[in-house]
Amino acid sequence: MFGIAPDANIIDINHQVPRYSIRDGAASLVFALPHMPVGVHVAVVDPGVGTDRKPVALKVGRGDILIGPDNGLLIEAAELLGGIVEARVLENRALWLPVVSSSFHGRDIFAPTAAHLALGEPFASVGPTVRIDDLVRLVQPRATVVNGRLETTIVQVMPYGNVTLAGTTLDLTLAVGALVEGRPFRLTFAAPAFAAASSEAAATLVEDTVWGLTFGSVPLGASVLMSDADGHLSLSDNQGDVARRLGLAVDRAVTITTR
Amino acid sequence: MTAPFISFLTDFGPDGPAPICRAVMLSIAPDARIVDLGHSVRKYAIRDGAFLLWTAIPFLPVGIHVAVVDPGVGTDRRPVAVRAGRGDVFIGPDNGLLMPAVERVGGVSEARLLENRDLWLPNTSATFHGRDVFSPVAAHLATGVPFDQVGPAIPGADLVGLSLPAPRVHEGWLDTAVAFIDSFGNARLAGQPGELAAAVGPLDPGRRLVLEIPAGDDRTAAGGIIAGRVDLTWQPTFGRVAIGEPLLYEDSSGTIAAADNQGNLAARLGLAVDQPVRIRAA
Repeated sequence: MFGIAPDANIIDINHQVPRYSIRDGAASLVFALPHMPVGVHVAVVDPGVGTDRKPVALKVGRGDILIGPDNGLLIEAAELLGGIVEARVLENRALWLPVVSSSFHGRDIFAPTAAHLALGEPFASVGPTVRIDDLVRLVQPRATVVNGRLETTIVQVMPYGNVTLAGTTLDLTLAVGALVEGRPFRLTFAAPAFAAASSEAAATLVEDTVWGLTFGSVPLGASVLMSDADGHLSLSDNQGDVARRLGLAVDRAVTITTR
Repeated sequence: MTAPFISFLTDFGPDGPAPICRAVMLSIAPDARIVDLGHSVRKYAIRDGAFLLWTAIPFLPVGIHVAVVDPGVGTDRRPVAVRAGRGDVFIGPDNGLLMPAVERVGGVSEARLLENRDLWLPNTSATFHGRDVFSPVAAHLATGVPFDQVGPAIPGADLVGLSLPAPRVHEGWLDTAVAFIDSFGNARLAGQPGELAAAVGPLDPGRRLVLEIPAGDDRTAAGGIIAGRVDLTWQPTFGRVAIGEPLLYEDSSGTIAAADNQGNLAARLGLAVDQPVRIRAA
């Protein structure tokens, strides 16, 4: 990118997305992009690199351009930035590196196209438009209220090991009523879908916790359920790492009940 | 006019939160020059962050320094900005993190609470003040907003203090303590070579010394119970001893340090921050 656009200001958001996890990558973009200046955003979590999955560029309402594979990675963040205004397939090889591999499109296609756009290349020149409805979308986990319980899913594991759940404080309030600091809750984690039946992590797991306003609402090492920096439900250990302690990972189903 | 300078140190880890804070700062102050002092501070270790800021500050230009190791985020711990004698402004939580560095560049000349929400992000969370409070305030100051706009002044003496360990010189030995363990496992000790020389005599290269790790809380009594003893030499640098051998040296920030050449001395000896150690003449 610097080779093409030496004056660009490149901010690395995250290169530690769990390998192949499009959902983790999408969540990382949702966390970060609203705070980024309007610009060009390159995201590559691309297990389908070199197959017939399309390389795309999305123009959004705020004026940003998102570049990456058409596998759902970019969509949720694009919707947060004003929605997709125009989508194009990257087909203009004049904006790519001269030699293109089948396994490293980050280097050969996405990065050079982004840098050319940063230099002022018109968006329309990246390739032909594609119907917005034809873009691949991830199935988003949602929180559902069932008989006073909230059925939800782990959508992200954050840098301190905090676990972000699908759903907001509103969803939980609808399920169980008012949330006050110290209110006791029980989180029941379903057996993970892909764990080996014999492994320790395969069992259902119960964590008793309380509602809090921030980490320091509970003693050191204790867990707390709260609203995170973006309004999502989140489980943390105060100055600990709850994901590591309980062996939690993205996509694990969780039921939240009072106790 | 030169670009305003912002340094940035956290325990956030390299990915995610720290780049978001950079973006928040650049959105407000696009011309700022931001230098990341690192985001790999041991999580929640205020003392480690304070030490790293203290070692870095003499090498930083006068500017704005944002530091966030903030286990009390969202509680009643206060967000503060501290102007130091050299002219720098330090921004972060009032938990002692900033203070050793502030003392090193002239001490507190003015301290203020961050209370002016016009300088924060419009929506403020209870758990990410690095993004919502500290970064935007720093960036607004970088664009020229006057210091007194951040919030009301508080007495410097009200700031939460934090002292790095200090050495004690005795006749024939120096009582000191582990101030920091770096990523190589080298133990940075409290005190400077002059203090060690005052205790044990001249520090010529190759001078034989003994590093003793007292057991329990017996820090002062000469001849107390010793849990560990390492024979080593004073050296100008690592490669003067064989691979795996220990040495004492003056580290790049001017303090005494103990290391194994290409090894991990802290892990080998089981050292932790604040562990008292004694250095004797051999």
